[in-house]
Amino acid sequence: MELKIDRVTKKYGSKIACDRISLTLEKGVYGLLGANGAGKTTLMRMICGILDPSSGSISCDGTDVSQEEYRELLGYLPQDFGYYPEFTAQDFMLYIAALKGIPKSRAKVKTAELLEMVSLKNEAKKKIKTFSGGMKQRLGIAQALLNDPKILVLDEPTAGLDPKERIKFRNIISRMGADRIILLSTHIVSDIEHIANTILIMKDGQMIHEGSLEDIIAVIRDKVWECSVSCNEADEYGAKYPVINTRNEGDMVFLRLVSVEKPCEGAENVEASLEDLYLYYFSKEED
Amino acid sequence: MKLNLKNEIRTAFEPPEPKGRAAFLAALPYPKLTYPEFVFSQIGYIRKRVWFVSAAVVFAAVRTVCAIPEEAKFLVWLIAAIIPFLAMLTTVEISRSAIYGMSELEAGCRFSLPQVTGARMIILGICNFAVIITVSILLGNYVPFGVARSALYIFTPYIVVSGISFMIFSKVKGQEAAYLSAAAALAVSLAGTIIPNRGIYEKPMVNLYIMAACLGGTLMAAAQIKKLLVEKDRYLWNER
Repeated sequence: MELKIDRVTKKYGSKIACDRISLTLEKGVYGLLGANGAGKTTLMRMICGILDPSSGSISCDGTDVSQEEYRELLGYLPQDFGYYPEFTAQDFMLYIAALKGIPKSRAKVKTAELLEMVSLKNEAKKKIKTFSGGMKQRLGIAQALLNDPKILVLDEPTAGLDPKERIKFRNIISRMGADRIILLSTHIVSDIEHIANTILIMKDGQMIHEGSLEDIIAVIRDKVWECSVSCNEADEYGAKYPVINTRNEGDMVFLRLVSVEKPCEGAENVEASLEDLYLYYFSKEED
Repeated sequence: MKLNLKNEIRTAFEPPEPKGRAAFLAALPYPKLTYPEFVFSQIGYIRKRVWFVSAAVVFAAVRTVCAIPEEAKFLVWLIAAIIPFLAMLTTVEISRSAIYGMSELEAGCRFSLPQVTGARMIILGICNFAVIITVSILLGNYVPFGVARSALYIFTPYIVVSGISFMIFSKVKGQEAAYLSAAAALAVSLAGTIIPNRGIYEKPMVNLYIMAACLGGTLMAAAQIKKLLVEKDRYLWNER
């Protein structure tokens, strides 16, 4: 099974949201990282056939994204989704099941199974408008799995989940990644670090990195430093180096920063993490 | 194997965990809905208020014809005043995905957003058409201007409100569009009711009705074409 994204570009007037992106995705979990406005959601919407690319093509084993057969393989959780106010969790699942072409008898079985999986079994008959953000998000995850999708696209799936739910969700995704293509985007870097086999990093509509965690981190390996400095020095280093973390420790300021050479005498070289890389690339933009 | 022995084995040994159950179930060729079956499944998701207004209109026509046929002309006038609200409810129902932020979710499904909208249009279009034809035939036999003109007088406010509402939904997003659509329905209903009863059913007004119906139909077609073909990308981009 192969999802092929071939030189896909999306333009909105003069704004290029995605710029000639080419990827070949096979079974596994792909984590998509990028700042707000990097083009992640646009790319995901194109992969789901919701947006048409301005140029380029997307297909799965030769089936074009615009075809019904392609959508049959797809499970999608948008970043934000609404619901009809009169719907209970079960109504919502059965409604989406109908849209996925699943007959009612099978939809009922799948609904019960998935609501149990996301710990909403006891809330099946409750109206969605009474749900918390986390419950709604779990329901969104459940609906994406209704048709046992071969391509699962999840836009910010862990947003609103508490740590326990997030870990449970991560484990589910890891398990499912064995026999399907899962593409997920999130700002929670640790989620991607834990479950993605391949990490994709987008910036300004372009795919700037693609590879395993080790490959990606290699960019800043041996360049992450920790040191404790005075307040004045902290300001100086802040202007000179990309600072990943800062913390007041009495009279001193603890800094974690990225630098090619040792920034100061007492600085200690530490192991780089994906979060370091993310902040290195995107902290300035998000400020 | 003897039953006793079977029971003994069951109690003596733990059954092994099933292997490859998920893969086996996934490989089964489950039946899938066809588009007509899907359209049929959507009937249950149309809100009751649409069916209620439709049923009330038909019931009023039947009751009038049976009990007070001399009031049939008044009822044509009354239904022409109510029908804009049925048109408004229908438009809101068709555009429900956008009102409640379900468009993106529905667009990624096998039967995608245009097919869902199409299904609702088919169901409600058939229902509304049946209502208008039924009441026109029922009442038309008891009014001086006949069935065809009765149908015209009832259909015109319906199509005008539908056209305006679809245009509103193509320009305005969310709940505001539903409120504006309700305002349009009220305006058309009032326009029909405040014009002196005798005047609107005179023959010279027929051309005006036909022109209004054509205008409503054109607006409706233009709004749908714009929504489906031109604004798809822009709409989703702005929805974030």
